[in-house]
Order: sequence, then C-alpha cells, then structure tokens
Amino acid sequence: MFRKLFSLSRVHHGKCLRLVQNISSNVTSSRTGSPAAVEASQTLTVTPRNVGAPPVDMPYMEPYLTAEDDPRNHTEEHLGLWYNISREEFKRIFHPFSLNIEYNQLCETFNETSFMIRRPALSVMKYLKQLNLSSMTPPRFMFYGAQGTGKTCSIAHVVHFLSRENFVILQVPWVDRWLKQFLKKPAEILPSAKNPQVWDHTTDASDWLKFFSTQNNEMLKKLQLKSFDQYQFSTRENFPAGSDITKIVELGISRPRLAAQVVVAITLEMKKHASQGNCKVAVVLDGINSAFTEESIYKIDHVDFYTKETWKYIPAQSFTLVQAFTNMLEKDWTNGVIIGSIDYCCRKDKDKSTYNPRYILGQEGWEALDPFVPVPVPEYSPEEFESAFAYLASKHWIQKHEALTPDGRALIAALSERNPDYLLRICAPL
Amino acid sequence: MFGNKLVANLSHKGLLSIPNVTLLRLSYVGFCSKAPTEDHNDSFSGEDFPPLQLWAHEKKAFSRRKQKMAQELPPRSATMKPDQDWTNVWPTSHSFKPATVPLPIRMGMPPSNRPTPDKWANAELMKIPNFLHLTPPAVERHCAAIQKYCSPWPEGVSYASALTEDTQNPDPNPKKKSKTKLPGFSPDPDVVFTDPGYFPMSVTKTSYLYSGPSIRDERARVAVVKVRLEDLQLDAHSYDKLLRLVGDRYDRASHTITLTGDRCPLYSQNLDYCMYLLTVMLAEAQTKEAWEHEKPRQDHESFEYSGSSSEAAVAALRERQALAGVAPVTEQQEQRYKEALNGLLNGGETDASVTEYGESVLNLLGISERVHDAVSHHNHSIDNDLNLPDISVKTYFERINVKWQNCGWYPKIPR
Repeated sequence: MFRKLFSLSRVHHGKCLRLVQNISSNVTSSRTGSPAAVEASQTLTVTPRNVGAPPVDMPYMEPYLTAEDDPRNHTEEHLGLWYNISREEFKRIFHPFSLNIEYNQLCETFNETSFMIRRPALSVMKYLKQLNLSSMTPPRFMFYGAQGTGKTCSIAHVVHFLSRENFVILQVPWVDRWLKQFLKKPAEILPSAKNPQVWDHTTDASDWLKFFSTQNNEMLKKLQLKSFDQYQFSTRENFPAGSDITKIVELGISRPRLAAQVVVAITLEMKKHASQGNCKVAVVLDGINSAFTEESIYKIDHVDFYTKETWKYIPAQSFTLVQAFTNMLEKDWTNGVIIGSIDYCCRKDKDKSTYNPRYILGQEGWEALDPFVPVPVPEYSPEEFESAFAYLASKHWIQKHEALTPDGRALIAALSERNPDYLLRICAPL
Repeated sequence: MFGNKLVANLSHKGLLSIPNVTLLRLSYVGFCSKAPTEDHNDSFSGEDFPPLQLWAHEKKAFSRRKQKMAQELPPRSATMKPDQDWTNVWPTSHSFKPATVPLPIRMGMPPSNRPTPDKWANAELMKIPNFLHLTPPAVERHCAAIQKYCSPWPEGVSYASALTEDTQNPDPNPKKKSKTKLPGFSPDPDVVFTDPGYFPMSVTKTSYLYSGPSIRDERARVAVVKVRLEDLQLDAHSYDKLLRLVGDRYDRASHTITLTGDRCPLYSQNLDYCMYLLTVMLAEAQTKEAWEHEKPRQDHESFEYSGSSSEAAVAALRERQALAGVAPVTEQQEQRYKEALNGLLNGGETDASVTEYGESVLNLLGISERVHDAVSHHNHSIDNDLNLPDISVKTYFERINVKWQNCGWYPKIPR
C-alpha cells in the first residue's frame, strides 16, 4: 500500500503543488474580508504556516520511555519502551554506518539516540545470558526479516549489551560497503603481497581498525593483550610473539597499505585469546550474506571461454577483509558469539522475492553459518506502533493535529503496514 | 385593364394589401420615360415591368428541397420477446450485429471526457470474436445431436487418475459440472500387471473438423504421450537419472511425464518418435556409467545429513563440550536438529520450518525455551484488527471539508 502511494505521489507531484498554490491564494483573498466572510468561506483546509510565529499549538504526545539505560537489565516488562544511550557512549560504540543513514540523521536532529526495546534483540540477550560460552563453539544468532523492520537497530541494541558485558567486539557495520562502495569513485584496493589473487582494501581496512580501537578502547586497555604469533608485515614492520596488540592496531591505522594484513592478524589473535579464555569475543556482521556473493563493484580482466566476456566481478571471497571475517565463522574456537543479520537489501540482483535465510544465504553461506538461530524481526505490533508514534510526536517530529487523531493514526498504520522504516518516511512530511 | 382587374379582384378577396399597390403606382410614376396614357394603362402587367427591389433581403433565399427519408423500422432487438429462442436468432458464429443483440454493450477507447462508445457502428465490437452462438443451451443441443455417433466406454478399461485428471489446472467448481469423467483410480502396483484392462499410458490425438477448402489441419499432427512414473518400476538411481533427462516434462503434482511430438508432418510419425524417445530415455536411465560415482554433494537430489557440514558442526560442538567437561549433545538433540534440517532443506522454507529449525538449534545449545517470535511478518490481518476510517472519496471530502477548485491548469474545463 505504501509503495503504491509512493509511486503515485511522484506522478501527481506537480498537480498537488499547483492545487496548493491556488488554495493559498484564495486564503489571502479571503483574509481581506470581514471575519464573518472568512467564516463563511471556511471550506479551506490547507492553511498557510505562520512563518516566525511561536509554536503555540504544537501537537504533542507523552512518549513511552524507560529510565533503565543498561541493556543488561532489560526484561519483557520493558517491551515497547524507549531507552536512551548517552551521546558519548553512542559515539564510542557505534560507527557512523552502524545505523541506517535516515535513522542516524534523525538521531542527530533530536540530539539523542534512543532505541525501542523489542523482542528480537531482547530474546538474543536472554539466550546469551543462559549460555556458557567457554564450553561450546561460538553460537550464532542471525536476525532476518523484511526491509526496514529493524534488523540493524536490533543489532545495535545487542552491541550495546555486549559492550556492557565486557565483550571484545569485532563489528562490521555493513559488510556490503566493502564490496559495493556507494561512491562515485570506489575505494582503493591493492593485490595482496602474499597472494596476488586476493585483494586488500587500504582506507577501508584502516578505518575499520580505528573503529575497532575506539569501540574496544576500555577493554583493550584493561586486558593488555599480547600476540601469540610473530607477524612480519614488511621488511621493517616486524612484531615478535608477545608484542602488544594495540601496537599492531596502531600500525594498521597509520599504514593503510598494511591495514588489511593487520586485520587478518587481529582476527586470528582474538580467536586465540578467546579460546585461551583471556577475553570474550563477539563477531557482529550486518548483512552477512554479502560475504558470500559472487559480485562486487570491482572488476578484473578475465576471459570467459563461453560468453567471451573479457572481465568479471571480483567475488567477495577474494577480498582479504572478507576472508578474515569468514575465518571467524569457523567452528575451531570457543568463548565467542557471532551475531549478524541476513538481509536481501545487499543483493546485487535486486531479488526481493523472499527474505527467508536459506534462500538469501545460498549454499556456501548456509554451510558457513549452520547451525544458527534465525531470529525473525517482524514489523511493529500495535502496541509498539503506538509507542513509536508517541515518540515521534513527543519530539515534535509530527506537527499535524490530524495525524494524532485516532483516525489519523489508524490511517498511518495502514499506510505504513506498521513497518518502522515506512513509518519514518510517511511521518517525514507530516 | 386586366392588371387593374386583377388587383381589384385580389384586394377584394383581402389577399393583397394596400401598401403593395401604392408601391406599384409609385414605381410607375417615377421611372416611366413616356407620359402615361390610357392605352398604356390598359396594357400594364407584372411581366413587362418587373417590380423594383430596393433591398437585397427582399429576395427569397433559395431553399433546397428537403428529401423525405423513409420511416425507419425499430431495431430487431427492440421487438424481441424475453422467452424467445436465442439459438434461432444467432445460430452460427457471426461478427457483432448491434441491432440484433439486445444488450447495452459499450466498448472502445473514448476521447477524453466522453463516455465509452456504445454498440452502434462500433468497429471494436465487430473486431473481437464473440461467443453468442455458443450459449449453454446451444452447446447442449449440439452435443445431443452428435451423441448418436459416439460409442460407450468399453467395460473393464481404466486409466490411472493421474493421467486423466488435470492437476495443473484443477477444476474450481467440480460439483457444478455434470461432466462425465473417464474412470480413474490409483492402481495397486501388484494388480497393475495382472489386470488386462489397465492401460498405464495415455496417447492423445486431436482431430479438427471444419468446412473449408482443405480438410487438413496441421495441428492434427501433434501426439501427446503421458506415463505415470510408478508404472515404469524404476530403482532410485534410474528414477533420479530419468528425472534429470526429462527436465521440465515431469509434473511433480501428478507424478507423470508428458512427451509431446510435433516435429514430423504426420501424426503417426510423431507418435513413433515419442515412443522412441521414451524407450531411449528409459534405457539411458537404467545404465550406470563409470563416472557416476563422482557426483558431488551439491548435485544430490536431496539433502543428506550424513557427511554434511552440519554433522561436522555438531561433532565440533561435542568435541568442545568434552574438552570443557560438560555433558555433550545427546542423540535426541541431534536427531531433532537433523529432522528440522531435512524439513527446511528438502521440504521447503516456510515460517514454520525456519522456526522449527531455530528451536532445534536452541535445543542443541541447551536452551529449552524459545523466546523470539515464531513469525517473521505478523501484520497479515492488519485490516481486521484496526477500525480503519472510511476513506472513500466522498466521506474524505466531507470530513476535511475541502472545496476543490478549478485552478485552470486543466485546459478542457471552461472557466
């Protein structure tokens, strides 16, 4: 229903504009008359905004908030309530791409970051509390669901929980960003020094290392982890066994050409530290299915005998960064947890026929992840929708009185299908 | 004299008015070159002196004689009785005749702001084929008429119901039709080869009859052969190989294969070709080549748990649990996981199978209770839960009290 409306609005855009212009001109003419005359011609609905006037009659709803900002204490009583993350903690834990761009902008507009406590994230946190991670291969929890239902926000909620639970977090905010750079000029890649068939990212890898060091700053300071193996990144940069891991990370941040190799070293080291019981490691991969695609934005020369194509896309598994994180998915370590989302948004073929996990993951992805717990992320329930709506209204994001009436709310619920993303888009012009 | 008489006569009858007379006199006085005499007075007439017409509009406009049209009869459809026999009105196929069809049909693309063209002189209605001659009573009578040429179904002869019923397009209203079906049943494999009346294969031929210069129709060459897979009595290997050979000729629902021959000019040649194909494919399916054991896991027809990565994952989990000194995964837990995997990968991916898979994995990890949602989309009944406002156009305008105005951007509406 929303999509239909969306496509229609494009077509009738010009029409609506003209209509509004005409009506507003009528308003100005009617204002010159007596008040009685104005009342008589009260057949107008579109009233012009009072520019510069104070917001006297701004619509407002009381939000459903909770003061409990520690996700470890969230229980089923808090379902549907909003909790707030302080800006400092948000900037430390989250990458700019950890959240959806629109939601990130909204957080900046409100000058606060709040998440609704929903069942998918809450259930994963409950499972994690029950598990004894040191006695098993890392369990996997994968969020899946339709577009815009809150998979990424659920991951953000769980990441907040993990950081409070003193996990060392290896988070890739959006795996697909390494493969399909949403830029006019894709980021630089270089053939790897060890294997020229495999490609190293430069700036992306050093960016990730910077994110890793800020996200786990406190934990790395506290743990003072040392490397198990010796690493020779170049003729000069040599780290013997027992050198400080933060030093290796700093090298990667300052030398983008070596950063991808540093990421490989970090992932291997964290695996070993976790298995030794030095720390708990969480691997968080949003859009995990793109790690198994055959297509990226990068091309190489390759002659296909049958199709006579002279080029092909570099498959995802030919990138060092992707290899480093798929290595973390193997079952040869303990004391860790793997959390991710399976999302059809990052499919290059735009196949949105279903969001079911096996279909999207494909054979390789399924074999790499199995056994995992698929956690569905459905749309808002009626109560959650009410809560989300009240939150937006409390921030004066919704400024139309008609939208807050029961009829208006029911109409918006039907238009958005209670999908969080569609709800934000529909409420944007209200 | 004659002229005066005439004038007097007319004026006496009241037909000629006085002003006309004075006009005539005036014209006579003013424009005559000779002085009037009595002789001249006597010979005055309209022919000699045509009346002067000062103003052009006094000329009568030439009026074309109107052609009287013959009175039209009303259309035939207007005089029809409701209880008439329609098959007599429209006995055969014919292009649409508006006067004969008593229906207010409209069809075609109108110019903007106009209604759809009606049936009169409507080329669109005449172009399309109509089935006015194929009304149910007409078909019934036709069938009754040709029934004397049909022979009864032989006793003791039967086909498998998979061959006779259309599983692709099942009949939506089977009860309403009084169509007699071919006798069909699901045969018992032991009985099949002892029952002489059972035919495991159906061969379809279609004949086309029509009046025309040639009695040949090239569509009659097509031969369709349909076989039920159970009747072929294949083992697992040749069964799988045959399915790969026939490709999309296999119908999963009815479990049959259908071979269609239409490349040769004659029906018998096509039928021979179909039988040849069937023989060759069966022979090919039953032979086992030397390289067939090299088939990788990906090419297996269904998921097998033994030897899979899932089994290796469970083994790895057991190993870690043994190292940590925790009770390892039990056989029951593994069995449930295996069944859930089979259900998801072989049975199809649905909300139920994915949830069952998730529960089995949780069970494997030692968590007994599922907390997360069982469905991935719970708004199927959104229109039922909510009391949606009536958003029809009329009530919408009443509700918000908008007066829509013509603002001039639409050129067709006169301002």
